[in-house]
Amino acid sequence: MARLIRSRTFQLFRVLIPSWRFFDVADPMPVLEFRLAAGDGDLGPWTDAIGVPYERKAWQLFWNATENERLARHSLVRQLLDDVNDAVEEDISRSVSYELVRSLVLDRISRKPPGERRRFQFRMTLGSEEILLSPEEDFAE
Amino acid sequence: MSGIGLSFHLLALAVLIQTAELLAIRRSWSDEGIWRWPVLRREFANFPSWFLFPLDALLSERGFHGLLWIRLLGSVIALFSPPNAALLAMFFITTLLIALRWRGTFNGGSDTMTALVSFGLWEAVYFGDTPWLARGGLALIAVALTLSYVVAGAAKLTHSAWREGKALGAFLRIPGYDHPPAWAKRVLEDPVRARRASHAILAFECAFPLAWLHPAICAAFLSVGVIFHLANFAVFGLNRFFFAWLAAYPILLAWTRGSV
Repeated sequence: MARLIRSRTFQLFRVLIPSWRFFDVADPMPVLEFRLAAGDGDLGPWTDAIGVPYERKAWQLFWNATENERLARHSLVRQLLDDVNDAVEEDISRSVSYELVRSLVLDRISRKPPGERRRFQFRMTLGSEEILLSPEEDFAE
Repeated sequence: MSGIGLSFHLLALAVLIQTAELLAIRRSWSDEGIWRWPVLRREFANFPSWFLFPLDALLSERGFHGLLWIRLLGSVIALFSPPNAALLAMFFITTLLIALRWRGTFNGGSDTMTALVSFGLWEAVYFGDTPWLARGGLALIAVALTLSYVVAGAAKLTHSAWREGKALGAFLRIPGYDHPPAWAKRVLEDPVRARRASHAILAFECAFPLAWLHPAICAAFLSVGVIFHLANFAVFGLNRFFFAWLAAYPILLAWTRGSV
């Protein structure tokens, strides 16, 4: 039953199934990071790929687009963690979650100066455990 | 203004804000962004073609852009019109489509509450001449609102971290929620105040069914609820929850007054 509820098809329609268990357990959240290399040298330090929240202002009660998108990014990384745990694909890099998370990383990298982004790699960690490490890839402009 | 009328206008405001926010982040759901439809549609590959065809039309970048503009326009019209079944049906269907586009929900429970209030109000307005059906729609909203608090409270109550007042501080250390405002940090770093805050939340959520007893009690609970959701916005940034839940409040209040 638990596996059915976690299945991707079930999750697609979960808006119709109320689950009001808000904030009951402080589960650790996965962290997504990436690193870059400007040329053929070593990759640089790991950098957060999701972004940190802005200092909240009262007017954001009516307009919080950027923050809500940031929360959606967290949910996406959480979906990838679930897919890894449930082994939805033999090769996780073929899964929709992986591809979307890779797009998320590319979106972050595209905001960096062109000279800093020749190659990239990303990883997902949970606490001190590395859950997923992507292969190094060339960044296509 | 009747409970249905007020609820309808608050729902329109919730839908307006949700939709404008989604339009503002088009870069994220464009074909060059993160949530690209050509990738997302693979999850629907096993669905029948009669289901996939309209999804392709409505959830591709161009279709989704049009869908959001129609939803935005509908919400603006709803702000100034009496309760309208066609607009409510549109809010319900577009909420489901947006949720599908975001692999289940964009903003968790706020999408579910938006869908429930839209559907419940639609049923009440569309079947206005059939009292038991109309009341059924309103009952759906009132019961869902109550359960949203009671289930959340009961789930928290089973965890010692909540009973001991340690849970709130733990949530503020989770990535994504780890930049609370300074006042929230001060409160939650003080064990006594953190425990009081935890117990206040547990008491409010678990005792919420008492709101059904009398309109004055209901008004008191809903007033606390407004403060509760404002605090959730301030600490966690959950602005959509505030408006989605607010839209359900007039229905419960009207129900306790016997005016539905």
